[in-house]
Amino acid sequence: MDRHMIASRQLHVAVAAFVLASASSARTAAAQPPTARFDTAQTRAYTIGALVEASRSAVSLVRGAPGSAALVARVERLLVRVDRPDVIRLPLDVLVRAPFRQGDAREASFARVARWQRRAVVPGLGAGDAADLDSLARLTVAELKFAMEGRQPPVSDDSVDIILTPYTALQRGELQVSIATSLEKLNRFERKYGPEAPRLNLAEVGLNYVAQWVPPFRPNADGWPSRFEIVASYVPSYLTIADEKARAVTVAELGLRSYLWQRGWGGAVGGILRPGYLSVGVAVAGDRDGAFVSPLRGKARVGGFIGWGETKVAVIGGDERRLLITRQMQLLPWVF
Amino acid sequence: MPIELQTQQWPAQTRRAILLVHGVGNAGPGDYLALLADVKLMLGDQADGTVIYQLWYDQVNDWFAAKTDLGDLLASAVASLRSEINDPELGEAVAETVGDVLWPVLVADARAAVREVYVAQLKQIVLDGINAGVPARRQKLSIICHSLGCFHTYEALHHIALFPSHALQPATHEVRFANVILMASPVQLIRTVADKLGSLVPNRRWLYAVQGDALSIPFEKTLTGMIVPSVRRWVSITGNLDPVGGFFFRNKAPWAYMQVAGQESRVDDQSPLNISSKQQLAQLLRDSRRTMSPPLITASNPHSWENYVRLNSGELRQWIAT
Repeated sequence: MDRHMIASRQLHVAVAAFVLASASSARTAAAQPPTARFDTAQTRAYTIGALVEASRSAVSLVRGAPGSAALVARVERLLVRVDRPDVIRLPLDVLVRAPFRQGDAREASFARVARWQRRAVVPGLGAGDAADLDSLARLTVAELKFAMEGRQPPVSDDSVDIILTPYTALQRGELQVSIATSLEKLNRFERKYGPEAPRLNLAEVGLNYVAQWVPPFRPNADGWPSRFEIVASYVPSYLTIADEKARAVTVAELGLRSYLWQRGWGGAVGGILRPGYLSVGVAVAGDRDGAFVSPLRGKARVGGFIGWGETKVAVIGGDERRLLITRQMQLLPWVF
Repeated sequence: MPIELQTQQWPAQTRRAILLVHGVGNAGPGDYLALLADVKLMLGDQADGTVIYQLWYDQVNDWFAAKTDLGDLLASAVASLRSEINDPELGEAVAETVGDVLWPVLVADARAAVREVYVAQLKQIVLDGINAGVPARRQKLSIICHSLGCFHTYEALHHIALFPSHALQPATHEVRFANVILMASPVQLIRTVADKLGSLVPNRRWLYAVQGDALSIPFEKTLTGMIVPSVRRWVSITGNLDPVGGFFFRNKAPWAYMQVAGQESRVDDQSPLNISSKQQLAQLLRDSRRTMSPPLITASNPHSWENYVRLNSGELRQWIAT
């Protein structure tokens, strides 16, 4: 057992003893510890053992209180299972970071993740341990806290705060991770909708509105944006070289845009090499080259396009094959 | 420009924080100064012991406005409203005014993104408090929201009560709001219109305002089945001339007025505004509208946020201070 764990265990045994003594001797605030303010500097030292000891302190204060027998028994069963050297020596950080699975709809408490996975998702913990610790945390911070406040004489606010300090440290860590997750989510929304995102024409607005009913295109349960967007555009600005002359070619595109979420990609930061999105789909041109030539004119030339950020390349077949290149832009808002 | 959350250092001995959430507008840091002054005036000598945050989400709205044109859909939503109001004198003006609060219903990504900004700001507030030595269970958090901000509040609070990954659940994370005060809330109105729009509303499953048999205060059910509400005091304040809050010229419209089980309700008598006819009210609503800009809500408008704060300052102070 390392130094922090021993210190943590001693602290909580002392706190429980102090609280028990003060609660049984007097109901006044005079018996309070000098301060209960949460000290963020302590939080790095906490281990899972500190959580275990906090729960043990809390349960010792409500044991024997009317109506608490089932709760106490349940918490004690959990304590027996998780109070093992290989578990309690782990830092709180492993619990803080384990439960969050970004990018899918399965964000949940670490217990639920453990049940889905049927295997350890927290380094050093088995699936059962993760579930037990999750239950222990929930029972301690809710039911045991209410029981401490509801017993006679009640445990004072300051004492409750001191006992539950490791759980406050756990929540602090969870909040820090969760804020970072939220900001990442918002970064993705900005990449897809922000000022540097490709503009849509009215047809694309309509198609992407309808696509909100199709699971791959809509945000998931916890609000992560879909990386996909439908492309349906009229592009009169493709260029090609034919007969040693540069020519414009008008192309109709139907395809899919996929946003790239990696950090450092997209916008001015990513530049040409690391764009914020790529696109792929079918390209159709009319039988004649030229800007603003209807793609439906004459016998269609069909091919495909691929976009790497703003740079797009298309190949169209037919009698007059062409290799085309253009840049993603909208010349007339909402139109093309 | 990436979203920046407002973070503040809580002074020693401070346990109280307020989040102000504005309605339709184009606001950013430095705006709503008059409102902020009114809130501080309302708090009086409690102001020094209260950390005041403001939620800025219009940057996100702007992303979506630039990329999604909802003209036709909003028109159908407004038409639906007009038929529901069924008042030849007021219907048109009220429907257009209220239409401004409907657009988030129609874009699932916009709803999700604004909700995320909101939830992230709440997390930052709770974290600021913990960093100042005040655990979540001792924080006295209040939200004062107005108009469309009430809808975003409703959605955000329900979301955090459901998802443990945000670390803001009322039981598991001990984040319980002392007061949520909704001024001129359009939540019921949005629920009604969303019901009428039916399948035109995308991703309904995650639109909390249309879930269940009625609007509700969010809660968490603990492992032993205990129900822990996210909010200790849920207050609705509206005015009897404010259509966004569900009153159509002194007549309460049950389909538009937010009634949540457990809510404390206040309806301000707005007679001092000297609006004596429906035509006058309709004209006032029309005058507040601006082309390509959010409406300009003056002090003479029954929807004014500042007026709600001034008129209810005594109760607000009592709720927030206790």
